[in-house]
Amino acid sequence: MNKIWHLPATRAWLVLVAATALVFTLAENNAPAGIATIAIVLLAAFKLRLVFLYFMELSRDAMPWRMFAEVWMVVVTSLILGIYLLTPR
Amino acid sequence: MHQPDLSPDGGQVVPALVGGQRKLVGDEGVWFFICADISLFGVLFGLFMLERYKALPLFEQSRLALDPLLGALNTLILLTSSWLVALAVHSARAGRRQAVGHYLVLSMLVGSGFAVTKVFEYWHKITAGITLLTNDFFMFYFALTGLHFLHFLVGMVVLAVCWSKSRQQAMDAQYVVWIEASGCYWHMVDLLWIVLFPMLYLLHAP
Repeated sequence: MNKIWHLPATRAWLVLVAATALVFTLAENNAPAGIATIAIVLLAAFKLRLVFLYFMELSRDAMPWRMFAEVWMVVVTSLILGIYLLTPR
Repeated sequence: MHQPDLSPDGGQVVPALVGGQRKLVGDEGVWFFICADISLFGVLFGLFMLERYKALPLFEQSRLALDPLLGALNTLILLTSSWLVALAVHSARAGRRQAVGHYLVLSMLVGSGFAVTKVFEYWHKITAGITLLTNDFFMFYFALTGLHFLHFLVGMVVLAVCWSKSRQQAMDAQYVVWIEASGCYWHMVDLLWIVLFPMLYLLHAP
């Protein structure tokens, strides 16, 4: 049973839970909205990467699927952040 | 005729599936589907952001009607359910039939919390008079979360089939590929929510 705590997926899950708590804290506290939102989107990108690498096990360098996943993460994060930053106030 | 291993906890390690000999988890067909599906969602995320660009005050005001606590709770539910599926995959590779069954049942139990929260959220919105037709923000909200919910329901059925197979089938290479592919689909449901939650609930106007 205690073997599960040594698995990469378990460590990733613990980090993902902590990152979700951090995202919620950033959203609920009175941090400057722009900075908080940028941090929240970057944390989401970090979480995506953990899921791809340690839950879906793309850390085994399964090409071309890993390449696709990395590009998708960068495109989606850039799209959201880019349009967010360009949106007129 | 092949005799399935029906021992309570087989314990037969599937040699070709451990030690990282195979690079791809699951099979290529599932990965092709995942890539196509997340690409489609990527386009929808872009469309949402473009509409938000055109009508920021409306999107900001509408966003405030959502409860970020429920969104965060759903994130934790899906992450935990995904982790339990990862443990089921690990157990299947080790040939531990009983553990596979336990982790899959736990995963479905935890995952069903997502349905409860989502139905509560929809019910709350609809009884407050907020529907798909209220405005562009809620059109996106119901369409994106509805499409995601459909993926979630398919995922629950896939996990139930995996559980059923774990009771009837040998913990062999074929089963391991099956559970890995099903697990990858379930993780994709998680991935999509990781983007949907901040995009719909948390994008504050600066």
